[in-house]
Amino acid sequence: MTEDRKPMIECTGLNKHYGDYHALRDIDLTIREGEFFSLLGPSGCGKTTLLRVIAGFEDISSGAVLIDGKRMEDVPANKRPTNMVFQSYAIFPHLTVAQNVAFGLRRDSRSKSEKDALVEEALQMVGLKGYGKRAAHALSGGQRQRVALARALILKPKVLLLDEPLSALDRKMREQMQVELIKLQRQVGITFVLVTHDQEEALVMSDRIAVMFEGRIAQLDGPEALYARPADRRVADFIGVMNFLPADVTGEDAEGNVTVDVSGLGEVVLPPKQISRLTSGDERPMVGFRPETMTLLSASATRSQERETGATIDEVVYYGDMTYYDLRLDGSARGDGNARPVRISMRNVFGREVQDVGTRTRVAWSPGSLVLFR
Amino acid sequence: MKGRMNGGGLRAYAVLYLLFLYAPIILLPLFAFNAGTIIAFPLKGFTTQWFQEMWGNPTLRRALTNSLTIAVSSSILATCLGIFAARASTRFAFPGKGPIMGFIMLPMVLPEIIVAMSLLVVLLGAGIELSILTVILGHVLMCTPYAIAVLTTAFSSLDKSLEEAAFDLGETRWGAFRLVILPLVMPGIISALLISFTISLDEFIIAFFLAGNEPTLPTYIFSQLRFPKAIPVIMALGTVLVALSIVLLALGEYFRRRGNARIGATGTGGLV
Amino acid sequence: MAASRRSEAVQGATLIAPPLLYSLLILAAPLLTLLFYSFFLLKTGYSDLEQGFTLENYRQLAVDPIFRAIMVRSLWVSGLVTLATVLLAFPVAYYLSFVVRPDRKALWLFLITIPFWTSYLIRVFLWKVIMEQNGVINSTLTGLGIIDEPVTMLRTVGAIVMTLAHAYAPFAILPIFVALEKIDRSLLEAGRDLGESRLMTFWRVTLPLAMPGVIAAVLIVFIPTVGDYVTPELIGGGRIPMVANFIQVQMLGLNNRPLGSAMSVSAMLAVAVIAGIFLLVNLRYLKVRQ
Ligand SMILES: Nc1ncnc2c1ncn2[C@@H]1O[C@H](COP(=O)(O)OP(=O)(O)OP(=O)(O)O)[C@@H](O)[C@H]1O
Ligand SMILES: [Mg+2]
Repeated sequence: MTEDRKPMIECTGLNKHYGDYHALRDIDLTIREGEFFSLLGPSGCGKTTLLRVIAGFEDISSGAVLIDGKRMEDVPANKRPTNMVFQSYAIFPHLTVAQNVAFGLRRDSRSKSEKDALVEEALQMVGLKGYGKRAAHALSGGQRQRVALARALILKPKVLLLDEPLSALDRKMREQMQVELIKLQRQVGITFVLVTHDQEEALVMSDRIAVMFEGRIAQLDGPEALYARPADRRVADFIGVMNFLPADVTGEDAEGNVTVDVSGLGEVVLPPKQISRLTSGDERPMVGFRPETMTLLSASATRSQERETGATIDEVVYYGDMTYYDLRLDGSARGDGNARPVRISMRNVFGREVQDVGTRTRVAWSPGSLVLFR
Repeated sequence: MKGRMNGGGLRAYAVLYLLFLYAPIILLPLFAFNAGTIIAFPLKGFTTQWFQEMWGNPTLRRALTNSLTIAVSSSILATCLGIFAARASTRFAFPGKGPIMGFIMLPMVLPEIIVAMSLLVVLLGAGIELSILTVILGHVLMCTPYAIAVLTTAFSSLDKSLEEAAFDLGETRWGAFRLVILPLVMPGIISALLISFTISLDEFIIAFFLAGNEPTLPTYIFSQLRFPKAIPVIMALGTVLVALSIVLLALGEYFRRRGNARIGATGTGGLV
Repeated sequence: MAASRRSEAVQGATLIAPPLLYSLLILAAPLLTLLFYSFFLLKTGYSDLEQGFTLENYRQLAVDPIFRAIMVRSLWVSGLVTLATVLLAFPVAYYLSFVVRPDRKALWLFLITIPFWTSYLIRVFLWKVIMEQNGVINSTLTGLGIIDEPVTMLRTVGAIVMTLAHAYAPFAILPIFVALEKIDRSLLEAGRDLGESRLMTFWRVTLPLAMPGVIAAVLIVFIPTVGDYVTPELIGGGRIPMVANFIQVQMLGLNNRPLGSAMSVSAMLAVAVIAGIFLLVNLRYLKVRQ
């Protein structure tokens, strides 16, 4: 959707050292105009560092950052066309809400009344109309968040950088703000770069996501691709739930289609687009699949277009709208004595009964939803 | 209920301890308004004579002017130095930080006589005439550590991203400092000023050795202690000084707390 | 702000420069001068120095019984003061930290620190007035007929110790209080939970954890009291001089700056050595903390 837009942020060969610590390693990254882009990764992987490099708060050891086509090495943070929403929001506690929002306009030559109008407009945009005179330190977390947004957006930056802006909010508030942020981004059309360690949040909000581990970008893709076809096993593990089954590669043809014998599932042939990398430390190839790609067949169901495997229900976890089943696939114990059960999820639609532990059952699955890690 | 008893015993002890702390100070106003010339019970009746005598004494007035000049200059200079040091130590990492800060804080524990004597030796050796200026030199040295202690709490309670946010919103570094940091640490600055002022006003040793022939309030008091007749006036003067110190400190504490409340912080700290 | 480590170091160094320069100029340079002076002799009859580096001043001090006696007395008095101050202060700090309601703590702390901020000279002088031959205590006691003859209190070591202990009280309370506040309350509950008595918990948990504060208190009281000038002068009436008074006499009264400097240096060395030994002995308590 944004493929054709011009690049807004380009990072090439970026490296950042803190003393001996190599915080960013060979980052190559292009973020396009108007994109909602997320940096996702576990704690300490360098997301904040990368964001702060883009904002101009951190110098880089090597490489280059371009924003809107201009090299940024000699441009300090206060001169860059970016604005930031800090994790702690950094609302100035000694100012009112309106003064906070107007802070960046101080050096602007517009008249007082024009500025007031801009502030009012910005407050309205984030849903804080009429809050201008309030003392900033007396606001709730969600309100601070909105002030921080208004304060940054009023300057009409080319890029808005957000460092875990929702992590301090409770679950309900967070979900509400996610939706509002998406709407806001569509409304203003500014490039958003969001840092988060919450994979769900990244999937919900982003056009594209860069998954980072230990200072490196492990995969850069849209949410669906990231979820369906993780580039390596660590990404697969980090995003959502994935079941892994040991597999043996038995053949490979000229087009790159690989034949594997999967513990518990039997022989399948997987095309190249379903083949990803293992992560260092893994000993043997594995085949992964998401919980919702396998379906529990009720006793009455007779046939499906997909493949079927017999299984025993090991554990049932009931969530109301969903039920999770831990299954032991027939024949999965082959090779390594006690294979881990796989987890599948079933939506509790009307008429579908929750099954009991110990029940013998059959599951249906499709080779198209498998990913081979080799 | 052993715990209660325990707390009760401790409480009684703590109250006694406070009495012990305040016992001498309570005597000050008692005898400052006492008509008798010797400091002994029973009291002889109420008078404000000593305060009038105090006001009429030209040397004392000179001492007061000197003390105020010294205290104002020292507190301003010490607070300025304190701002530099507190900002450096709370915001930046630089080589030798620990030892450097320790060295600057050293006058807090160093016996004053050593500071005074060594400074005196150098000043005399360099042929610099003793005056209230030389006292200011010493007082700034003595007050700076206390100013740093107060300011460090003020600076370190600030979130670093506040400053970055101001910078990010287009301010210059100086603008970010002036518009965000300074207003937020202002209560700490006022508190540091008041505390430095109090320390300087009450300081005796350095003033005694470095002032040359200029009197300050404490050295004036010291010089009068030999004369029993002067004691009631000293009591009056002491009352004024102590009252002033308490008012200034209470103000300092007030500002510190107001600052905390304003940025939504809590906690004790301060002079501790 | 665009902060590589280097530029951060540069900014920090620039900021710390003014206070550091000031301390170097007004504190370090004079202390070094003092040290320098102590290695020279005074020309007899003149106020300038003889040629040549010598340890003669230190030799003189080492064999001088008066200096030794005064030094020993100073350390002894300071030791007593420290002991009294810390012992008296500990229960108060404990009370503040464990019994006083959190919202009242600030008030108590304020009450305790106020006397400290009032003029030290006036406080000492007040003790003199209180303890004088015809002073507050004696006039009260004779007036009530409890004693016939006034009791001599001034010019005794006891009076000096009491005055100093009073003066340095807040110095001892505050560090101990801070250390006690840092103790994780659940540790104490854990101790009690494991069936230890209150006293045992205090001995085995509270006290060791409070030791860093106690150690700080000891040093903060001990070091400046050794060099106290006012109290021996006013309360001791010049009869029981401590090292500060002796130094002052050498420096100004006798105008022998080299010997006075040597005394200052020796006194500081003695204090530093004692403080160092004290720290070493208690090292294990300080290590626990990290
Ligand atoms: N100023 C610094 N000095 C030294 N190391 C630092 C500095 N800032 C960050 N680091 C290190 O760089 C690594 C990456 O830090 P960064 O803050 O970018 O992580 P993050 O991905 O944002 O993690 P989190 O989700 O916890 O915020 C961490 O290991 C951190 O310890
Ligand atoms: Mg981060």
